[in-house]
Amino acid sequence: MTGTTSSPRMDTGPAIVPGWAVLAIGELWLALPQRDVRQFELASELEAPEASLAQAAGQFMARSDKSWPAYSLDGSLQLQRAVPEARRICVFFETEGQTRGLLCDRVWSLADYTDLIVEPMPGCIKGPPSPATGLAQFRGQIAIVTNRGALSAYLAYLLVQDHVECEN
Amino acid sequence: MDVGAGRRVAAGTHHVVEYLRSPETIGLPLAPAHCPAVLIWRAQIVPSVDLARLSPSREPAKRAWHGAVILAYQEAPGKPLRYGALLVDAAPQETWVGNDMACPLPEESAAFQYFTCACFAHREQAIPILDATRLFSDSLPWTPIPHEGEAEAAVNPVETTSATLAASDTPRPSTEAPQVLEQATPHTEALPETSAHQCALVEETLPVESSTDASRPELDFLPDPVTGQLSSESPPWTPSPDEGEAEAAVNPLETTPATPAASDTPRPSTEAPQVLEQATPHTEALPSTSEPQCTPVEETTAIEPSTDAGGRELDFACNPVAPASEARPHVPLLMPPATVPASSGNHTVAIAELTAEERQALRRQLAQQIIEETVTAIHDEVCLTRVLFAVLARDGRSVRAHYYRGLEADSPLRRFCFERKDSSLFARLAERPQHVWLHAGNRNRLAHLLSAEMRESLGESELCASSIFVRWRFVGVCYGDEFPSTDGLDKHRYGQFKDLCNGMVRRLWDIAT
Repeated sequence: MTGTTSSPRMDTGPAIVPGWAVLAIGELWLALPQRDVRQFELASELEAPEASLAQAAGQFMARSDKSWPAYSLDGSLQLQRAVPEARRICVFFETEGQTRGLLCDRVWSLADYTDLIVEPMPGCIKGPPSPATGLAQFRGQIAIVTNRGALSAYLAYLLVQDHVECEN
Repeated sequence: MDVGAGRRVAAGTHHVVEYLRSPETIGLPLAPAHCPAVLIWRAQIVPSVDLARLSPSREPAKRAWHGAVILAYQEAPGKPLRYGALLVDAAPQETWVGNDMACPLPEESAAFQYFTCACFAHREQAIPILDATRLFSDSLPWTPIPHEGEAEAAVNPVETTSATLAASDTPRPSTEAPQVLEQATPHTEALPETSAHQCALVEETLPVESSTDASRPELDFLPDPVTGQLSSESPPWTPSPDEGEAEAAVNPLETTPATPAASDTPRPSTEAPQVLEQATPHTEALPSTSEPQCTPVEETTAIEPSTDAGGRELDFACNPVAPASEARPHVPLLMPPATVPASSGNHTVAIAELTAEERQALRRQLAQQIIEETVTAIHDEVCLTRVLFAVLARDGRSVRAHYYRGLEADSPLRRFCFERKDSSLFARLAERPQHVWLHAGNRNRLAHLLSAEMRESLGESELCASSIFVRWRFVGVCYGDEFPSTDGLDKHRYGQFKDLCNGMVRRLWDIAT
């Protein structure tokens, strides 16, 4: 989790590319539009989080001295502080001026949006806060489709929950 | 439908599309407790609802279900069809429900009540009728039950009502003793084909043999090639309104001494085997023999079509009998446009584009293929050593073996034949859609229904047989045994046999419409 910093790609804006990035988080697959991905980094590039980022699994430091928190979720999409070794890649995305990262085991890049046929979430599955905006078949399994907004909102929800639990 | 936790529910037959046996579900994180997973059905992602999780006596978080019933629904009139899966512990059964059977909804589970629109009494049990749209398109308006042991929300915005009932499925007790003859409820609709057989057929090496008998079988259920009329739209027998009810008056077999015959109440497994058993309905609620992802049809070419070496040809032409006005009313299925059965994927040409003669020829070919596949599947999957399908001859009287697997060249079963009008076991079987399992427990009781010659042909092995009716017309008898073994069948294999026969009926029904 510690390591050298600075990446020249840090200052580049979000990449506007079509297609999907399918993130493997354990047995869970999360499909994020490529356009929502700011950049990928190796988890080994992350530094230990500051105290103010206690919930984060790490943070990415750039030469601009800005840091981006990165989080690790388990297969149930719950925050986990002990980051499994398998989480080797961090996907950063930006919403409303905030950049956050999500650790994952590996990433598949799908070149076109049509590479995934996204189906809306059935109503009966909706309920608890979730980053899912749809479902798609991927390699015979189900990928949970999300986007940076939903993912960011879900992370914010988890952080609030985590904060409340910590206070209690 | 038995949804577990002692719960039985019903759904209108127009909602029921298919029954999947042991489907593979894929869990979703953060999903409500009652909808923990999805499954992939016909390349679609379908949510699966486990109503047992809503019962006060909740099932364990990871319980084993035995199947799933695919239900179709619309979120609103005019909207496209959507599908959901209801996890069940047993194959669904069909029954007719009248308004006089309406009763109040049980109040033991508010969450459960939310998904029901009406209720009827059946065998002293209240059977809620599911509102499929609400079940699959709505999330619970209160926090669902995430884990066992948590208090169940007690909010119920739905006012229970005893609404007017439509035709609905009624479950029946799953605790069945080994039974001998089953009575099927009438077919009401065709289902899209599922292809259980195809999985086994991949390894198929031995073709189904067909008899070279010069007599031509009459599979008299397809529409007239010229008029398009169907031979019959209503069952010639009295439809049983309920399992066991009124059945005795129709089939004398059930009155065999010491056989309580299709009782309404479930019996412990130690009870003597029944002679008559209500068969699974040959409707859209039929148990499917499919696995969701089967090997494509193209790989099943090992089966040789039983073309008529002796100039024999299946003739489906039939004489229109009943006018359409006599058609039994039924609710149309909500399902994808009917196509040729999936197992016949190499014949996916739209039937409507063919001439009448071509349609008839295609149907004939498909029917032949379906029978062959079923015979093979029974032989390979149920592991019955001798399997045959006897077809009603053109004269409408005799029923002769035409397709068989596992029969020695000199096997007397190749000459399997009976007259519909005689009093043999098979003639009784042919009176209506039924299944029979002849085993040590009932062999003596039924011995008088088998002639000495027939007993010699059949041997001492346990056997099972099903009468095949399509469009309420008798087509033939499917027979299987495990000769020369006398070890006996078991309920599971007998169930497999019935499922395959029911699947064959469904597929034949499909191409007949």
